[in-house]
Amino acid sequence: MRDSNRIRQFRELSRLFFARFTENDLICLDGDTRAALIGVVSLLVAPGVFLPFLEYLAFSSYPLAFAPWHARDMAALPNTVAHIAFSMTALGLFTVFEWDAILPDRRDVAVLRPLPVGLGTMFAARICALFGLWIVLTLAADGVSGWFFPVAVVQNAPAGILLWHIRGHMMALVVANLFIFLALVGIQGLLMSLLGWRRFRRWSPCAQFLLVVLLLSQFFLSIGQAWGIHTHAPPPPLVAALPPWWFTALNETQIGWHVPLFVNLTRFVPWALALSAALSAVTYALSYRRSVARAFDEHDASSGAPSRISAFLARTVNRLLVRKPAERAAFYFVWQTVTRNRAHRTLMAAWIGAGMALVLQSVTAAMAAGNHRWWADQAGPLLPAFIVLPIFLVTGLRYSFTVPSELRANWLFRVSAAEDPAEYVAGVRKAALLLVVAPLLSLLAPVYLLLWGWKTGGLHVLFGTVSAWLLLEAQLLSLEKVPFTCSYVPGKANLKSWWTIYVLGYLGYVALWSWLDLRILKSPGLMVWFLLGAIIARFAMERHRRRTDAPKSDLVFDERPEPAVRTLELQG
Amino acid sequence: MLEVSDLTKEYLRRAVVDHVTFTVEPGEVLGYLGPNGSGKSTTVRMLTGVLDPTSGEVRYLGRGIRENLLEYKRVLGYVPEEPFLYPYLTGREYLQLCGRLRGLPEGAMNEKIDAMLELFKLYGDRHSPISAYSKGMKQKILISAALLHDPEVILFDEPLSGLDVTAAMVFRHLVAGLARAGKIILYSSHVLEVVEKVCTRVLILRRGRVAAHDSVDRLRSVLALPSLEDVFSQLAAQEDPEEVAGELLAAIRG
Repeated sequence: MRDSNRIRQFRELSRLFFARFTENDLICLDGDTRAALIGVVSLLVAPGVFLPFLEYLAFSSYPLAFAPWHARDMAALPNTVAHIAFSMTALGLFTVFEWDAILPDRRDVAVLRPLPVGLGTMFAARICALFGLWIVLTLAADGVSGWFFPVAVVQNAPAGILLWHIRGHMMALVVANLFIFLALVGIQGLLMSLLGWRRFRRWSPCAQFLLVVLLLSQFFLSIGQAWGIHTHAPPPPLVAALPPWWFTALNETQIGWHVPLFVNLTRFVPWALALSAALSAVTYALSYRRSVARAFDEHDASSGAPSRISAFLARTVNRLLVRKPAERAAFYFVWQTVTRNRAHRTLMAAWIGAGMALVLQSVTAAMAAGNHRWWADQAGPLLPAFIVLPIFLVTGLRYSFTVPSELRANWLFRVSAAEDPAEYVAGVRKAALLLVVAPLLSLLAPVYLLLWGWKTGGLHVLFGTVSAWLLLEAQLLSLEKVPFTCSYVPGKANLKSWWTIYVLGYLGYVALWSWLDLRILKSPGLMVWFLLGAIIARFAMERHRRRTDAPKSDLVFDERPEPAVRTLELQG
Repeated sequence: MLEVSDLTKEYLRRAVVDHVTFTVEPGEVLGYLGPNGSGKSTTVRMLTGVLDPTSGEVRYLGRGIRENLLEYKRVLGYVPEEPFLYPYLTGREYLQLCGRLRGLPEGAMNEKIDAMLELFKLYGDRHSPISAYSKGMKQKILISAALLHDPEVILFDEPLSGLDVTAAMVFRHLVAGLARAGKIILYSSHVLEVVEKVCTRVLILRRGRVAAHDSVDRLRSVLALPSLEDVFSQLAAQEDPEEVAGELLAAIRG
C-alpha cells in the first residue's frame, strides 16, 4: 500500500518536474507550456531534417554519386563532425537555459515539503524528469538525422553496411549527448558545492555565460578543424581537446575506420562518460540536498545599500544623460532589467557568447594558419573582433527588448501619464547606448591600447565604438515600445525564411567595416571623413525618426501578429 | 466628480459588466462590492483606462476620460487587485520608477518615497529586491505607488490583501483622511466590515449588473438587516452559504 502510494507520488512528481522545464521565461514567453515544448522540439528537429536532405542531394550528385560508398564515407567527415557538434551544442544550450529548473527552487520546496512526500521520492522524480528531458531533446535533435544522415551518405552501400552506419551514428550521437548533459548537470552541482547556495545564485549568470561561450566555441572550432585533417596521424592538441571530435571518432571506429586519428580520440570517450557520470551523480545529490535545505534560509540577492560609487554614477547619469523624469524612468528600467532579470541576463550571455565564440574561432584559425603573432597583426583576427562583438551585443540587446519581463506588471506603464512617449524612447536609447558602449570601452579598449599602442589602438577603438553606436541607432530606429512591457509574438524575425539574408548581411557588414577600419588604420586622416559620415548618418536617422514618430501619440503594449489572411481591404 | 454611465464590457458577446451606472463625488468613498467573478475588477480596469468598454462612458469633471486620457491618468492613483510588480527591482527603485513615470521632480520624489517607506515600516528593506518581500510588504509598495503623486481619483481594488491588522487599521484611517481631503475614492473589496466603516455609499454587483446602490445605513434599514454582510448575502450571494458549507463537509468526508 505504502509502496504503491510512493509510486503514484513518483509518477505525479516526475510529470510535474518535467512540465517545469517548459516553464522557462526564455523558452515559454506566453505561458503556453505545451506550445513551448512543441516549439523547442521543432527547433531541434528542423536542422536534423533540413541538413541531411541537402546532404542527400549533394551525395546523389556528381562527383560523389559515382564514388564507392567508403570514399563517400570519408568525404562526409566534415558533415559527421557538424552533425555531432550541432547535436551536442543544441542540447548543451538548452540544458544551460534550463539551469534554474535543474535544481529545486523555493517554489518546489514551499509547495512540496509540507506534503507527505519523502525527499527520496522527490529526488528520484527529479532525476527521472531530467532524463525525460534528455530523451526528448536527444530524440528531437537526432531522431531524424540519426538515420537520415547515414542514408544520405552511403545510400549506394549494401543494406547491411547501411544499417551498420546508422547504428554507429546513432550510438555516437546518443553517447555524445549523454556526455554533454551529464557534464553540464555535474558542473552545476560542482559550482553549488564549491560556492555555496548564496554565492552560487549570485554567480550563476556568469557561469551560464561562460558555458554558452564554451559550447559555441567548441561548435565552431570542431567544424573549423574538419577540413584537411590527417586521419593517419595522431590528433593535433586542439582537436584532442574538442569533445565533438571524440564522439566523431567513436562514430568512425564503429563503422570500421580504425585509423590513428580516430583510434586515439575514441580512447577519450569512456573516460569522459565515466567522469561526467560520476561528477553529476555525486555533486547533484549533494547540491539537491543543499537546495532543499537552504531554499528559505537566505534572500535571493543582497539587500545592501548602493555603494558610494554607484550612487555617484547615478547622480552623474541623472545630471548629464537623463534629465527628464520619463526619460529617467525608461533608462533605469532598461538598465535594471537587463542587468538583473535572470532571463534577460541569460539571453544576453547567449548572444555575447556567440560573438565571443566566433572571435575565438578566427583566432585559432589564424594560429592554425601559422600566424604566431596574431595579436600584433593589425590585419589579423583581432581587427574584426571590435566589429563582430558589437553586432552580437547590439542585436542581442535589441532582441532582448522584445522579450517581456513580468508582462502583467506593465499596468504601471499603462496607467501612468506620459507627456511625450518620445521621452521614454530617448531614455531607452540612452540606456542601450550605455549598455553597449560601457563594456566595449571598459573591456576591449584596454586590450587594443595595450597591444597596438595608443595611436593605432585608439583609432581602432574610436572606429569600433562609433560603428557600434551607428548600428545601435539603426536597430532602434523603429522602436515604439517600452522594452520588456510588450507581449511577444514568436517568429516575428521570420528566421526560417530570412536566415540566408541575415548570414549574408552579417558577413557583408563585417567585411565592409573591417576593410574600412583597416584603411583608416593605414591612413589615419580618413578618420575625420568617417566621423563626419557618422554624424550625417546619425542626423539622417534622427530626422527619419522624428518624421515617422510624429503621428504616434501613444506607446504600443500589444504586439500584433501578422494576419493569417491578408485581405485587399476593398470596400463597396 | 467621476461619472460612470451605462458601462458595459462584453467578452464573446457575454456581458461581464452590464450597464453599470454610478457617480462618485469628491470626498466620497464608494464601496464596490460583489462576489467573485461579478465584474468588479473589470470595472476598475475600465476606470483606469487600461481596458476599453464595449459601450458606456466614464467621465471625470464632466469630460469623457478617453478625450484626454493622459490628463486623467495624471490625477489617477490605482492599487491593482494582484501585486504584479517587477521582482528584481528594490522597493525604493520601484517607487522611483513610478514617480519618474508620473513626472515628479527627483528631490521631492525621493523625500516622499523615503517618508512613505518609513511610515509603512519598509525603510529597512528599501534596498531588498521585491522578490524577497512578503505579500503585505508588496501591498504596501502598491499603496505607496498609488498615492505618491497625491492623486485626485483613487481606485482601490482589494487594497487590504496581505496587510496585517495594524497596517489595515492605518489604511482605514488613511482612506478616511483622503476622503476628508476631497479625493474621489472607489473602494472594491470583499472585507465588508472595513467597507462598512470607510464607505459613504456602496454598490453591489451581481453577475455584472447593479443589484443595489445606496448608503450602507439606507440599505440596512430598507432590507431590515443588521449588517452589511447580511445585506450582501441577501442581494449578491448566489447560494446559501450554510448549505454550501454542509455540502463541502459531506464531500470532505467522502
